[in-house]
Amino acid sequence: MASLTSTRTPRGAGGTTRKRRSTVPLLLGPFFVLFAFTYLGPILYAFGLSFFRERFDGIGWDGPKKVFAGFDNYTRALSDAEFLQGVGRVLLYGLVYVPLLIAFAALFALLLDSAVTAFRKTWQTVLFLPHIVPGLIASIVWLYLYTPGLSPLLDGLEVFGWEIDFLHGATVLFSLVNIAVWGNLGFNVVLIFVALQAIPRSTIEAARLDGASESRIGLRIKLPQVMPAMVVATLFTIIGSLQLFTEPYILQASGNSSVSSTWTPNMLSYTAAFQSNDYHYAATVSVLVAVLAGVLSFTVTKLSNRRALR
Amino acid sequence: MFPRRCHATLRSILTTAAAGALLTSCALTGGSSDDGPTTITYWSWISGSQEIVDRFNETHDDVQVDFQLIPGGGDGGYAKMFNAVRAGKAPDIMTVEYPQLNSFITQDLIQPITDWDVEELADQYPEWTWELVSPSGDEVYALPKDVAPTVLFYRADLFEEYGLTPPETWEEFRATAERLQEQRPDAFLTTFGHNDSGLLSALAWQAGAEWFDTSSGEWSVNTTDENTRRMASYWDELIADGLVTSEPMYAEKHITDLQQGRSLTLIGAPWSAANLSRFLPELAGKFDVAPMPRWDDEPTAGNFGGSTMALPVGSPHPDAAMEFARWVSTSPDAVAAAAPVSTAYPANVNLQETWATEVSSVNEWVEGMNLPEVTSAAAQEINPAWEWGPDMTESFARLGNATSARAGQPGGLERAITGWQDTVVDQLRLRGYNVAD
Repeated sequence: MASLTSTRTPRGAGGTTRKRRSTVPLLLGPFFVLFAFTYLGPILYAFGLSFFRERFDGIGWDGPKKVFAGFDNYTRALSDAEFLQGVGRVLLYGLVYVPLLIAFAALFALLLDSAVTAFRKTWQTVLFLPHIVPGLIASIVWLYLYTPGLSPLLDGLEVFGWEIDFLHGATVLFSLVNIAVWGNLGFNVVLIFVALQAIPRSTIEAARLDGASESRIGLRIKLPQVMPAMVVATLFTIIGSLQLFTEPYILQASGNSSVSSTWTPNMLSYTAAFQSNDYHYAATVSVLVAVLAGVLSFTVTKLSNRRALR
Repeated sequence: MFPRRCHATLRSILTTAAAGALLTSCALTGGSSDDGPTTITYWSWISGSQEIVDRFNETHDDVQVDFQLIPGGGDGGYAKMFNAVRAGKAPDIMTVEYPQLNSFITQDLIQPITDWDVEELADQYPEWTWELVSPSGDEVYALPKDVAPTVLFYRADLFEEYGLTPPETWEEFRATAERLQEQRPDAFLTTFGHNDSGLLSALAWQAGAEWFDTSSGEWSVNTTDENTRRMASYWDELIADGLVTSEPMYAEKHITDLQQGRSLTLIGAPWSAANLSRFLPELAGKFDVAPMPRWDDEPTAGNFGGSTMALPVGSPHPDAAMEFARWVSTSPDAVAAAAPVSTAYPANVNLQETWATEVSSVNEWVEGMNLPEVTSAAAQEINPAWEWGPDMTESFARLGNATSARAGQPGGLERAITGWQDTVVDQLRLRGYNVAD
């Protein structure tokens, strides 16, 4: 972000360059101070914490001793079945959720952008509405809809002879994907829709004059031009799914589902920190999640850049 | 469940805001500790705390208490305490429940209170209670506030209608459940809270289990003993045969079942009465209470809840805090103040008579119930050998994971609880505790 801004500033007219240079730190300063305090500082602190652990003598009545652990916490995490299963779960979740969300978002954005859609504003609002509902509330609402004995949805399905247990087994992953798609679709539609609006209308008209159908225009003309927006949406969604917490936490707290208190890496980290007061292990898990998110984001960016160059 | 929690959160926000305003006004008037009363902060979520604090403040000039409502222990309250103590911003005094005392002691969050001459109070509490607040044997770490002997609440009106009597043994409990369903196939004798680790440990406690032990100088964990298995497989069979329903307790489904008379009993403790009265005000007078059904001839009870007053490390005014804690734990006035909103049973035997008179006279819901007699009998039947582990918030969460995942499977509860032993041992070792093989 910083490099982008600073490479642009010298382009200013000669006389004002020096003056502009001096205002840059002034304007960016507050951001970096807060960034250091609320982001870099905690990350470094967590990194430091992850190299220590606590030990007790005998029963432990004399309190814990903090000892240097080296990479013990990291080997613990990487051999912790719960952590590995959690990572597996969020990756699987992402594998289902990300393509589904982006595909639906692109589809709805294209429909909104196409000339044939009536009531465009209304649809836009309707699609965006669920995003206004906080994830916590959405999860509680969906929890009711998934709970046997309370849910009108389940009663409705039963009429057709379908008895689906949304809260147990493998189904629970899809139940969570459903909550997330419901909640986040609107935001991503808007993201892509805005990009679509920026496409020069002349290219679309040219395609139309050449006899391209609406669906062909959508796929061949519009989508390639909004690729950057879709990459951004994908990136946000991948990072978001690695940090999966609220939805499974609510299902877990209900006591009615097979979601455990260590179901995702973030839940494991939360449990370690706030139930066991084991901040060292919590920090280790967080660092590993951050590394994983970094690697995945980097890969997505690289892949999409390569495609764009082609 | 959720509306209640949101409500509590909102209340805690308001309380914090109010406390903030109070602090500001104190700062403006420049109150100093030399010429005015000492003001101490008290962190708790136990119902009746505000009433107790108000009464204390009315009757004391030297110490004034600022009550701060915090989230329930397992819902974030304990994490808040941990962070506050580590950050050097501990309150003066706070609530810790019995299962968590050992983790608070071993993690250096609460300090011994032996110096405040509390040992002279030892014989005012049941033996098992005093053992739990002085687990190392050398020091006392907290003053017991209330205890929670297990009892069985039942719908007296429906029992009469169906010609049932409160079962005295677990065998009779099963027979009663069968007789009930012969007459009303859609009803269950009780709702079994399979994910409630506190309930499961109370049932194991009653069955004669001793899950944790420190006598060897290391922690030992044993949840695979005969008594635990007997208890777990008993409930597994009741669930499998459809005689009881297995649902989270106090959740919407449970409350609806209670309201509509589909769930006829509730395994609880004296505090449950206040809970029930809030959820089911319209059923006042319809419930009565009986001793827990027992396993053998000998009557036994478990403990399902209760709390202590503990002094955090770094408490700014320990003397004033201990004055308040001692008053809460020993004064009939404190029990009387809380009685209109709380039915928690005082740990102190000298207060139990006051409690009996107060709750039956000021709480309509309890009026006419057999609660005082049944409770005082049960309080004396609790196995004093029971110990808690050193990381119970975490261990309870793991037990909840195991039982929720296996709920309803044949033999699921027994496998969940016995399998939990390995999980606990692994977790405690990773956490840095010494655990015997």
